[in-house]
Amino acid sequence: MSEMEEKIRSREEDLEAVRRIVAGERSLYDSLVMKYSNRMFQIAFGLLGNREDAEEVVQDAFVRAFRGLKSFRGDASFETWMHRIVVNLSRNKYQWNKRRGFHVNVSMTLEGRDADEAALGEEMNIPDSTMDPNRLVEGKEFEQSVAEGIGKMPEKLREVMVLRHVHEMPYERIAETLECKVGTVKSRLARGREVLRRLVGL
Amino acid sequence: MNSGNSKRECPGSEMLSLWLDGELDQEERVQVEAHLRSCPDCRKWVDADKRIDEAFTRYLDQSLHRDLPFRILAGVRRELEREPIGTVSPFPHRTHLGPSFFRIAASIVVGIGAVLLSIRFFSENHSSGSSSGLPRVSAPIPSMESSDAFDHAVTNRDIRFLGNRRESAQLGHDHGAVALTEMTAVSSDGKLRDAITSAQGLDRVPQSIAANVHHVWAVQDLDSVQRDIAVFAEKNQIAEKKRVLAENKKGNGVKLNLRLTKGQLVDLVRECSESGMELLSPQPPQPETSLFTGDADTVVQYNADFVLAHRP
Repeated sequence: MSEMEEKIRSREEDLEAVRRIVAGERSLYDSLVMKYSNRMFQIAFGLLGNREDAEEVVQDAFVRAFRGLKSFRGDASFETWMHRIVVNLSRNKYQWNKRRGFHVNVSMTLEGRDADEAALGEEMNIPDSTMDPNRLVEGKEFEQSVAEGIGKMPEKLREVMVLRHVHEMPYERIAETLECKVGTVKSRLARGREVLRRLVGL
Repeated sequence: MNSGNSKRECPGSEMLSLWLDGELDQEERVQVEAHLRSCPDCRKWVDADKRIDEAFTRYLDQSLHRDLPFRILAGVRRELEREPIGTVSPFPHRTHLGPSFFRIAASIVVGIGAVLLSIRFFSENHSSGSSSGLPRVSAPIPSMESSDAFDHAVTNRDIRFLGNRRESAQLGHDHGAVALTEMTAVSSDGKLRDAITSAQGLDRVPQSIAANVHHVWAVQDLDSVQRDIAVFAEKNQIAEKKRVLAENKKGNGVKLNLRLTKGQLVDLVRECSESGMELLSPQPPQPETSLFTGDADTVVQYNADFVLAHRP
């Protein structure tokens, strides 16, 4: 079975599961939770950079999804629907943390306004440390600096970067999740990579 | 990247990003690759992006923990117990109330629920004349008997079967069990009964007993699960094979089929080596990923036929 066929099969199975859950087989919801917990957690963790917050968001997302299951019409896959819920809840959490002074970072200068695509990241005043050999660290330390860099990116760039890196999510699905155009995803990813490269000093 | 070089027009960051993601059509891909062969600046650019991509993917993968799905499931079930499926939008509104408002509201709801459950708990104990004094654990969760979740947990021996509720309650208290439930009427499911039989290390469980017994299970923290699995495997299969082999000094080895995680496999190879034996595999063990939790690496197991032999 090709990867595409596998995805279609998985999507159809999910839709069938949702139909049966709504019809009364509630225990099937456990399977959906178990199937998607890790993936949803990775998205929330990538966006928030904090395990406790990510776990809280994912649990809340599954609870909300269950409560609204009858409103799920199947236009998008269950997985994409869950992605949207997790991203939305993560945004709320991030904003809430920010108001309380948690996760203060350079991206805060851009928060709260819809900066135009070309401007995203321009005002961050990131020092260009490309030539600094001390920044070329390897292994865990490098992973950590990449993760910190992600945390310092403007929210919109961070979202596309995280979604893309969770199981190489296709552009179309990222666009569906963020409810934007595929062209926007492409330009944000390019910009995000550029910003992140500078943040980690490569 | 040198976009100012007229002889070697660089493709631009968006084009390189699309190339990295395999999103270019054939013609564009060929052009970009031809350019990369001749432009060290752009090669450096994409190499840096590749390193960052790989590091970030690793970082996200390492954020996972084996018991995470179980913990989330337990939390979701606690929240949803006896709740009807509704039609409300699951999407949050951007609000200034913040999570603290919802947390307080949820606490009130949970608090009321806890009081009601406590009343039920005590009244049940009182009516049955029990005075066990057990540590308080979560209220019974609806049976998972028929769910994929349980079958998976059985197959992977992520669960430990216990003979009675008291022991399980103590276990839940000691280990911070992430899920606790009751199992009933296992007799209709032969597979499940077999799993219970093997997990308990018994030769067989008579159907009449299995049909009536209430099995209580708990998912424990990862380390203790792994220890249990190791103990189980040691006692029930490997030790036996080792004994057979040790008695037959000139034998060619004994076959055994194992279904273990990578870490357990590594440990087993070391243990065999320490006791003068070696574990041979005619074919490389194939990783299996359960459908149950998608492609999460936490449930990958290796299933293969091995030969346990004396080390030459």
